Amino acid sequence: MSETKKNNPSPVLDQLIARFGEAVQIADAPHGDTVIVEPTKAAEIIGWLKNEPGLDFNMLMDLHGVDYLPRDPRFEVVYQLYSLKHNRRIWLRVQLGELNPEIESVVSLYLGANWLEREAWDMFGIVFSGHPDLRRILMYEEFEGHPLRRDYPFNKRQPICPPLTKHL
Amino acid sequence: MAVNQESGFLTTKVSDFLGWCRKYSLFPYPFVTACCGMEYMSVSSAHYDLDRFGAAWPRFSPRQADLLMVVGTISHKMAPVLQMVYAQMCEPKWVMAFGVCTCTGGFYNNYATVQGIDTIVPVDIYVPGCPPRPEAVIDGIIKLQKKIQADHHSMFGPKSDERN
Amino acid sequence: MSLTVEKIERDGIQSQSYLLNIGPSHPAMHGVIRFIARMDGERVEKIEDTEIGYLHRAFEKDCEQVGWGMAFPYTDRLNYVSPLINNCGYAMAVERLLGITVPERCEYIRTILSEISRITDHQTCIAASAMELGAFTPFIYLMKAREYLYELVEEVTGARLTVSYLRVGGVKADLPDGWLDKLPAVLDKVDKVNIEVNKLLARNRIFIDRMKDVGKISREKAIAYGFTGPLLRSAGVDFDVRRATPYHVYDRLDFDIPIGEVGDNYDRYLVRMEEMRQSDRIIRQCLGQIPNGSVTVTP
Repeated sequence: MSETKKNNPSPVLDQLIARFGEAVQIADAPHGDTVIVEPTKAAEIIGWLKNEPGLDFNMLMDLHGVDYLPRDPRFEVVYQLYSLKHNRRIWLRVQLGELNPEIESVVSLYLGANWLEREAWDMFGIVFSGHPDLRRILMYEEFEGHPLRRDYPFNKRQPICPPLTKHL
Repeated sequence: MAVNQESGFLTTKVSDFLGWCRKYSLFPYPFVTACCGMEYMSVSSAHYDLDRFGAAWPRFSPRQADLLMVVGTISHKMAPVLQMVYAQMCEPKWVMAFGVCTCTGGFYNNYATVQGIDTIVPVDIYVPGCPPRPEAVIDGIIKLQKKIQADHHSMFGPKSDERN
Repeated sequence: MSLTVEKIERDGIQSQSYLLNIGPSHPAMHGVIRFIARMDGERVEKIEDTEIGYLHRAFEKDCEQVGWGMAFPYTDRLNYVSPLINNCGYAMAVERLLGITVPERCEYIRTILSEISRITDHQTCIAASAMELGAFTPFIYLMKAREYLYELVEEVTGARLTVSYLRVGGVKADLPDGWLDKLPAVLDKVDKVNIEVNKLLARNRIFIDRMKDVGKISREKAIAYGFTGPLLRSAGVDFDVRRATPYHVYDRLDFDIPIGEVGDNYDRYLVRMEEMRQSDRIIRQCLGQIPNGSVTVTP
């Protein structure tokens, strides 16, 4: 399946490149249509993919962060869009640098992005500008740091309750 | 306990009698958080039937319960809630660590998980397993009942082994 | 989030709304979540805030520490009511990255076990929701029926719940001898229980009163929030990933996809009930089609 995808870029990718040109690069991925998108254009491209007649990517299936630590740019935000009408998926990858990873929020396009963006902020410290309520979702407010970053030690605990001092 | 057949009396010690009453009328509070909850459902419903051992009816108010069954992984975010529920229970009270996550943290050796609930509340009986089979839970209940029977009970006041 | 008191006027009576904290440890909560609900009398008007993360166990971080093959136990515990389906999802992802095609018999075994898991999942969901409405009998019946299926799963995988049965490129071991022959009898027993529970609930006045028009979600909202599974279908969207992008052997099987109309709790109940019947159908078709052969890829 991956072979055919590489040889025949799908019509969606053709349309994307015709519309946005330099801002979009086709990436090689075994799962299907994947593009690397410029951070400043990401929200605009996603909005276009959602609203353009004939594409109708009306569902945000997933949104998550990735940390490729030694690499520069270090972070990535991956959007997986799905079109119910055409039964088609597309993956958008946005690369962000280590300092101030920030990207425009897509909550105004997809309501489901609200919690997903909060999770990406909580776990990776990626800021989504324009998000209505960007606070921690899985961890507690007292937690310091972003646990899914590669440089966060996997067993560094920050307990809220002090341990029991008096045992039986 | 000694039974006097002629006079129809039963002589026993208050402590033994209270222990006997208490061990067969355990009211568990299922503090269910995770996977073990599925096994808790199995063990408390018809097929395995915890009712046979006098520990049947779950009380969902900590004030009416005397056995806190901590069923499933406890994260650091959940830990204060568990401590509060424990504090709300009346004496005498017992705690069962149901599943390996509550015993030691299990295979979640990471930033989010409490490494054994005995670091935050006292525990009376550990039932390891991921999740423990219903038979293991029943065995745990029976062991706890033996422990309760062996405890010193008084009519008033807290349990002899005062714990804070 | 607003935590202020709001004035309400109904039938000329002045009143005010109040806030109620529900959770994170609450009897009607199968899974840990906390709501701050705005109540008008006994009606929940609005959820002011939702707090999740009480069962955040850092699967991702743990999986980073281990190899590809060692991540299966973690996938069991993602949705612990249907662990085999989660195993399948992870195994298929790794297999696609590696470009592996698994043998036919393995695909059938995965399909059969996935559908058994789907039945146990829906049974647990219906049992728990009925119990919270005060109907304890369906809970006891369905837990008993689930036990029959757990016994089947245990014979194959060695565990009742946390199975870790799949491997990258296959399954742990072939089905035990005679397992497929006794499957129809167990399915009959389970189906009988499901029919009985449906009789107890589907036209029950109390059940309908408490399920109909409660928790309604529109088709548009369901899509915007990215719902999937029975929740999306109950809102009237004809989408099932087994039909849209068939995996395993779903493209060779004949099954219907139940669709709801209004997206309330009662529709969700009906969709789940019908899906269990369809899973039953799928398993029976697989029994006729399953070939002999290897269950893992050979190097």
